[in-house]
Amino acid sequence: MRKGPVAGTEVTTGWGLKTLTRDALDKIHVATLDVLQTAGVSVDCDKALDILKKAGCWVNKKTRVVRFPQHVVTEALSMCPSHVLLAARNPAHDFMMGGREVGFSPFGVGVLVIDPESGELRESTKEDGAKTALMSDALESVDVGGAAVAARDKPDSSYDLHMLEVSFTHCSKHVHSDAEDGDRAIKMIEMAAAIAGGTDELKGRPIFSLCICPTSPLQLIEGAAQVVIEAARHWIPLNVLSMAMAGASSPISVSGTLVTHNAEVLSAIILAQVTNPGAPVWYGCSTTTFDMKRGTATVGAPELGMINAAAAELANYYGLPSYVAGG
Amino acid sequence: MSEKSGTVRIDPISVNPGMRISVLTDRDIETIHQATLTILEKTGVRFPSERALRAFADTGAEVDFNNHTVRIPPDLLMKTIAIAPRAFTMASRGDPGLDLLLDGTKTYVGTDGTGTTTVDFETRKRRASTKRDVAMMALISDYLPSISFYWPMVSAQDVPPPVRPLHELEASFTNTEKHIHIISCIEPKTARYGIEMATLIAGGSEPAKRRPPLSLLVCATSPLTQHEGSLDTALAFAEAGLPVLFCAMPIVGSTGPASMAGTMVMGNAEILSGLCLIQILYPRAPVCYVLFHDLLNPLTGECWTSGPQGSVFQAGSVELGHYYNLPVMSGYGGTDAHEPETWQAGKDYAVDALFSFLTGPELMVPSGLLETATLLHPEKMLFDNETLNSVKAMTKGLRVDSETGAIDEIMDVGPGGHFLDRDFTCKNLRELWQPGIAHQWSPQRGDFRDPREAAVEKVKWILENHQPPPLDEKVKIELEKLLKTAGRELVS
Repeated sequence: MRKGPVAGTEVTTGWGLKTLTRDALDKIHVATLDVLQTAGVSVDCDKALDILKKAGCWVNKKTRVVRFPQHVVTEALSMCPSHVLLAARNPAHDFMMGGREVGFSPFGVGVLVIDPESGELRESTKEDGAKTALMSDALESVDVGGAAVAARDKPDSSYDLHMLEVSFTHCSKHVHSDAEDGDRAIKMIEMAAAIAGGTDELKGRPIFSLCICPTSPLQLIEGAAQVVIEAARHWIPLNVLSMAMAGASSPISVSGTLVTHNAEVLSAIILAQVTNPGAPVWYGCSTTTFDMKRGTATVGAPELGMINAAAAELANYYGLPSYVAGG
Repeated sequence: MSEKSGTVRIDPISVNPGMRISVLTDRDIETIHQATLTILEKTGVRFPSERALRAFADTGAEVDFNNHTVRIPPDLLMKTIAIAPRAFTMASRGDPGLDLLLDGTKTYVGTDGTGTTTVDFETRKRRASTKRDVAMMALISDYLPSISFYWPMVSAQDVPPPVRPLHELEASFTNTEKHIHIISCIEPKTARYGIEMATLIAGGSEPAKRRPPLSLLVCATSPLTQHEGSLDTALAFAEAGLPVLFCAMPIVGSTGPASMAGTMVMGNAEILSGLCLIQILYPRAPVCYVLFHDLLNPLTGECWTSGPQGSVFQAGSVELGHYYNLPVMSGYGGTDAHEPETWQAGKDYAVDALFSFLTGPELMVPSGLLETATLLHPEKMLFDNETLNSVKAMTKGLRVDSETGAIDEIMDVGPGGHFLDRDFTCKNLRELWQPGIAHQWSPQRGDFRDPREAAVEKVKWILENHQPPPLDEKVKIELEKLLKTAGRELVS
């Protein structure tokens, strides 16, 4: 089992930062409940709409908007595990998510690389993915690894499977992976099962985890919703990582952005829990501000740090493990 | 450019109280305090000054006149330190709006000093620093709101050593209206002229006491020794009512013990013994607590100002100073990197920046130098300014209320769509942090500009366009006369 540095607890080693008071957290939570119950979230997936309807959500089949009554939100949150084991091919690298321990993982998915030999800027390949996975295996500071760039020399219909392959072959730590849709997620789970010795062996010792992004504001597209369902069904840890841009795909104010961000993440977490109660999920965030002059996401802006620190605080508020951007 | 010159001229950093951090527990502080008292009582500190020894002997300390060593009983120390003011003002030479009130509610940022080499802004070559560099950096500091006080950043090596500090002061006072802070005054004779300059600028010795435009940083010589010249200078400043920032700067592993806590104990003893002397002779004189450190690089024997343990040490020093109810000056960002636009310089400066401010010192001297605070790159100030603006934005914390929560806004837009065309977006856009040199678009090139190029251009713009309020003509003439007199007396 890997051990991370301890942050935020009141002990003599380590120090913590409070970005939001308990009152502020309550306010954001209440505003989120209001948004989920009144405005709702658009879920563009028939299967997901059926599951949510059965769970007591108010579903409008025509507009695809799902509204979440408060009791559904509260029940779903109470079913989430507080700690999630990220098992590794090599058990010495197992990482337990939850509490105040912080681990590090490479961010993905890059699409360009500067060729280490020629210095030329070019599209990333499967081989580059393999190299980044190997580095994530070698570096002591990395707790969760995998390929950090896309295999763009492979077809769109299977590039993520190729990335997962090199992640497994080049990294013995827990691997974190994106999946485009439900079919792809199932194939990935089969790959992992082949390594673990069967789907049952994967339960409780998942050697990889999946990541989806809600589409801001307040939407779950079909592929993302399918991945949520498959991950939950197979007990594969799921990272729900919203990437809103304040001013464009979320309100311009930081706290308004936290409200839509929170509603989006919770909607996918609820879908996972009503699909399979107790499914391992994390609270993800890579939300930042929008540069109005350039039309880009400013990941170097101070707001990125502020929003992500606040998101980690929100995850703690719900007793969920979190995964946030560090710059 | 994000600086709003002309509107806000100094922009200190106030940390949202909930975001303050602490690296020492009450028990840690108590342990360091008790160890310090023991060192001061049993081992003592060397004071190579007849006047200091007598003052200590008269108040009941145990003085060894042969060894110049003073052993201070705990009750004498605590009684004396207790009368030092918790809050006081370090003033500008003009506008009271530029005065720094050291009351623990905000952190004022100053430049770093004192380097010896400058990368010439025109030729881009390294050379010994000059008086012109002191003037140039004062002008840039006067312009940048992130800088609240000016410490001459380099030494005026083109004037003779005995009058060097005086020329540095003249160049500083002429080119910025902000408070001046100096360290190079370590000879009492020179210091007298420095004090006279401050008195002239403040318009008399009483006004200089009320609104001191100049303060002094003096440093003990570790381990456990005070420097004679510095001590006499400190006493002269205290007599004139000018703030004295008393500093210890042990090198962990060479002039200090090879542990952070041990170095803290020893540095604390050096500072408290110095402050004790000042308060014995000049009760209630404004003083500030400054505990710096360096690390010994075991591979080269050089000093190492950067390093993760260093940030934690500096954070602890703030808590320790505040334990004694004294204002504290802290620092960070000392880097041994050679170039401003490198990964190392960026990491050393930025990683420490947020951490250090969250500990809440009254004064902070992080800006502008490289190569372990010896090398000046004029444009480095603009890099540091950018980091400070980020820290400022972050330490405000998040405002969560019904307006910023934006529920109506979210309900209106609903799932899908976007927030780009909303009035709320237009209204609040300016509140968001605006990128400065790091994010400038060049339409000609169709790409982002090199931040270094943007920084160099801004420095040029400041030097060509910015004018601080001028000194009074009469004061200017008096200052020149004073420099001449000092030159005749001090330079043989």
